[in-house]
Amino acid sequence: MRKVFAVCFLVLGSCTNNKPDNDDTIVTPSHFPLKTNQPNHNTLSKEGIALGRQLFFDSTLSKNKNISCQSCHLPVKAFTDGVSLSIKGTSGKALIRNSPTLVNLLWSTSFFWDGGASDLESQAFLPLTHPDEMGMDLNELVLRLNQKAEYKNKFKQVFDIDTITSPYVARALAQFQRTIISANSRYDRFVLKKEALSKIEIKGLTLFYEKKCAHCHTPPLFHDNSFHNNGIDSFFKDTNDGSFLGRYRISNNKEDIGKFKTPTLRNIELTDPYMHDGRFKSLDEVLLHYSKKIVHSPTLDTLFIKKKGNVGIDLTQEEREAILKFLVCLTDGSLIRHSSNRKLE
Amino acid sequence: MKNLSQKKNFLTLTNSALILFALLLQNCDTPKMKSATFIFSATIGTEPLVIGSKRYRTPNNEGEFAIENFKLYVSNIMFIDSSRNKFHKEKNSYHLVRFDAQKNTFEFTINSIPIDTFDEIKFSIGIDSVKNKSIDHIGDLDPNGQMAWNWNVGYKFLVLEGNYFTNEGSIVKPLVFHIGFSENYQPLSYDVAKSNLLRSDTIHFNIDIESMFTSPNIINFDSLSSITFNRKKAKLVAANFKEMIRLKK
Repeated sequence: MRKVFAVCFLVLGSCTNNKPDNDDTIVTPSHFPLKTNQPNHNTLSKEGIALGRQLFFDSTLSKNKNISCQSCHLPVKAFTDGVSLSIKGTSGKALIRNSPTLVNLLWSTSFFWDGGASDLESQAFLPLTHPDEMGMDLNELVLRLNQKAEYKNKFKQVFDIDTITSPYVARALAQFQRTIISANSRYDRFVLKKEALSKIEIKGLTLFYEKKCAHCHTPPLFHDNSFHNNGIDSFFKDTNDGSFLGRYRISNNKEDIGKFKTPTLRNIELTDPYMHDGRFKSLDEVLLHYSKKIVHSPTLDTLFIKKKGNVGIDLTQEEREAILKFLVCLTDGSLIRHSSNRKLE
Repeated sequence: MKNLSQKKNFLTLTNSALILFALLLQNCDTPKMKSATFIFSATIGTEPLVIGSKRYRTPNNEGEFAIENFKLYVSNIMFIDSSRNKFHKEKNSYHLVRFDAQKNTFEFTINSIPIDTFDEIKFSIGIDSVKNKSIDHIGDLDPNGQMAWNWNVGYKFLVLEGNYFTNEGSIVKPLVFHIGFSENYQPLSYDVAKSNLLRSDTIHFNIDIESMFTSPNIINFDSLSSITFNRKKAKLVAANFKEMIRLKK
């Protein structure tokens, strides 16, 4: 009876499902969370992803036509740019935040270092329009795109619109970004029992849990979609519209002062420099910070507070080296090769 | 044969009766779709709004002001028939009410209203907190409309920009009022005389910009001529929205 029921259910399911099947546009890794974050009004399609990719690499989306999204999100750097604070923007001024990686955004619940945007589509408007980034006026953006027959045809095909407007540009970009999935590192193959790790790498993995790194950098995403004060500053200046106050700028909750979004550790070997302002040039500096250089502030994460008010994570040099060896296992060579080999239109 | 023929006739008659009955039932149960046109007139006190160089007396101090830009969101429109406990909510109900130099009125029409009568209208100034969490929207919420603030706080609910002229040497201060933030979303409600919605109906509202600065909070341009991204100050003006829009009788 169960089998018959199951067959009937499948048949009914296929009979009542009139929507085009877009599930073949991405394959989500079996060891990743089932729940993803994408809006119903912007479902993925092959054409939408391709359009988004084209826009991502198109410098005509910037005011001076000299930078594109990939200028600060280079595939070869796991979609970061290798500098602390970029000066590539239209104004030439240095940004106040480091360019984050764009991998696995399908599972992210907020965007920007302070989580200010709740969806990828809305997020796009900052880099597109900020004078220190692409500096684009939205009316100029749609004027440029609508003058190109190729874009008009593609937007028509994807969204069934005759005139391109900025929300659809953001939606196409979001579709592409959601397909940037990194899940084929040596660590992933180890978890899926396809590859072994060395002794020291296993030791590093073990320490990763024992020393509670995994508390915030939780596998398989290696972040927790949350915000923490990890003790890099004792004081947070209230300038630039609260940009240095971290999550507080968004939540208005004083307990969030100095907290920034946990970044993923995937491809961490490639995404230097580190922290929200790119202050640490190497992973060694990062681990040294956690073991010896954490500073107090009222909102310091309790994870770093030891007995008698001391702060930090106890790590010997040997333990730091083992953790570093493990972190290198999070590099996904196939993502980098695949993304970099894409033909740019 | 005769019996067969009689049976056929009977069946045909019965079928016709059934079809007719079904049609009548359909007509009774399915309301005719109506439409309603909302017309907003903007004034400063009793004077019609003229975008541009026309000057008006400032409401709370000596001086004059001119308005160059005035826009606001009217959203989540609902028609209520309280006597029959029926209502209709407009879908995707977000209208950017805006004025230009040519006229001081703005109108839009809501179609496909399935209820016949209503005695109350509700709508809100601003964008509800659910929609306001994102700026990825089309139509009147398209960011190209210059009302999308940012990816975190959503939209400006009301924009008023212009200049303030003091009497002492006509020193000009810009007036910049950008009022947003989800907590300033203002639901409003209007009792209307029981109206039978016929094929179409027109409902007039007056937006008195002077009230925006006077009731219940006094906004004096000498001390407050600009609110751009300040939650506390925005709240002062948003509290005045209730007195700002009145039903024109």
